[in-house]
Amino acid sequence: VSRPQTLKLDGITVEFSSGDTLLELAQRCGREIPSLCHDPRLAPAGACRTCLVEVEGQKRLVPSCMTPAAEGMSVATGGERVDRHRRTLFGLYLTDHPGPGGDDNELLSMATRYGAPSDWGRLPSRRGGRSDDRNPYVLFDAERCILCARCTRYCDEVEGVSAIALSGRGAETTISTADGLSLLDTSCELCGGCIDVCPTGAMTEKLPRTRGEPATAQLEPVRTTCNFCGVGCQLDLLVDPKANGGRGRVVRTSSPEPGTTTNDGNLCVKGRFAYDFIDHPERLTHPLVRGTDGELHETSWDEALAAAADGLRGVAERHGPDALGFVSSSRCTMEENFLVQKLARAVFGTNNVHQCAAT
Amino acid sequence: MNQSVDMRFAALTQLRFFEAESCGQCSPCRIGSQYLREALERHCSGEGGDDLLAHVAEVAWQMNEGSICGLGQTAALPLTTALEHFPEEFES
Repeated sequence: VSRPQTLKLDGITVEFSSGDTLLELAQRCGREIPSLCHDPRLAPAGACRTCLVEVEGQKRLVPSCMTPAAEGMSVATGGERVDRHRRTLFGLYLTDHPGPGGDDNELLSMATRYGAPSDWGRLPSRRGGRSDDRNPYVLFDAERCILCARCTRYCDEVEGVSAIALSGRGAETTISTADGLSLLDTSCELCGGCIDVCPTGAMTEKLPRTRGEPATAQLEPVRTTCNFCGVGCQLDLLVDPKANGGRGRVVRTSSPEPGTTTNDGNLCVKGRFAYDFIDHPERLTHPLVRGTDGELHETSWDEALAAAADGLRGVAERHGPDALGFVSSSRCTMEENFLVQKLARAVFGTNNVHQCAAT
Repeated sequence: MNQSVDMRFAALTQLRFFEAESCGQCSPCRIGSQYLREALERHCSGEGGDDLLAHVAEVAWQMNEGSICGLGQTAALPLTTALEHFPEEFES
């Protein structure tokens, strides 16, 4: 067994494991380092330069996101030089950004937090957009983009799709598709991950914008299990509590932080964008039981369940349990599907049970 | 170059070169090289006055500290050294 490795972090001796980066180590020790291009699911890029720290003996500040912790290192996550670096870097970012856009903006909160000057003027944005992209979900606002490339690296490294990529060079660098095509004409699966990882609101969802929905800060997140398939992805429904006369309405969804749920911050096109059915007028919101008049009537859950139980028991008594068959849905969770087969096998005694995804 | 050269013009030519050569990967160089060129252009044209030029020292410091490669780390020198050695040429 080797001796634990240690280094000095802001004067305090801390242990680390081989492979830890300075950023990971600092975060674990509760130190605060700003970062815009980092995502634990992605290979470090070191492009946004916000996470630079001072390492004793190194002439230059080093990007903590891609510098491996090493035995005996002495690292400063603050101090005059690092503070001035953050102040001036965020000041520079502000000259190339249009300012608040009504929604979460990591860049602007960091700029405020680290005391960036806001009087350095504004530069004209030279990043080209794709305003004519007819895809129904993802809107790219080139002016707000800071080219941290979280979205393009996510598209490549996590989704394995590479529908979007950095394009051009210098101040004209932008996020684009092959030949500037609409996302619909690329390999894009419309998972919306680019929206989720964007720190400045440059990648946003079209529908809530065109509907003029309230900003995220005014929405209440409700954690739930996606019901489009049995994988069990966790997602947060972002609910406008004042809508629908106080009953609330799902304005959009977002994925939980990477590393906290089984889906690791990822969602697919259905989980991320298919929430309009919730308030669809044709959606059944009460159980229906067919009356003696042959029509379906709204009823209570107790009565509906009693009617279903009577019907099922009646068939089993008259014709035996194998006269029954249970078909469940891939839109149920794994637990719900388990209960359906339990009902079939243990309660009624038949193995006639199927689920539409079990081909 | 000789004594007849306008140092602002000489610096501007080099700033345009560095801006064109900036690859865009890191923000200090990408935004900074654009900022410096814009600052000097506005100063020379008299449009918008010197509001950007006043922050050149801080921008240059950031480009030197924050840029990934040697291009961004030195791209501010034509302007900062012109300001340092030929301040009279920047008086309007």
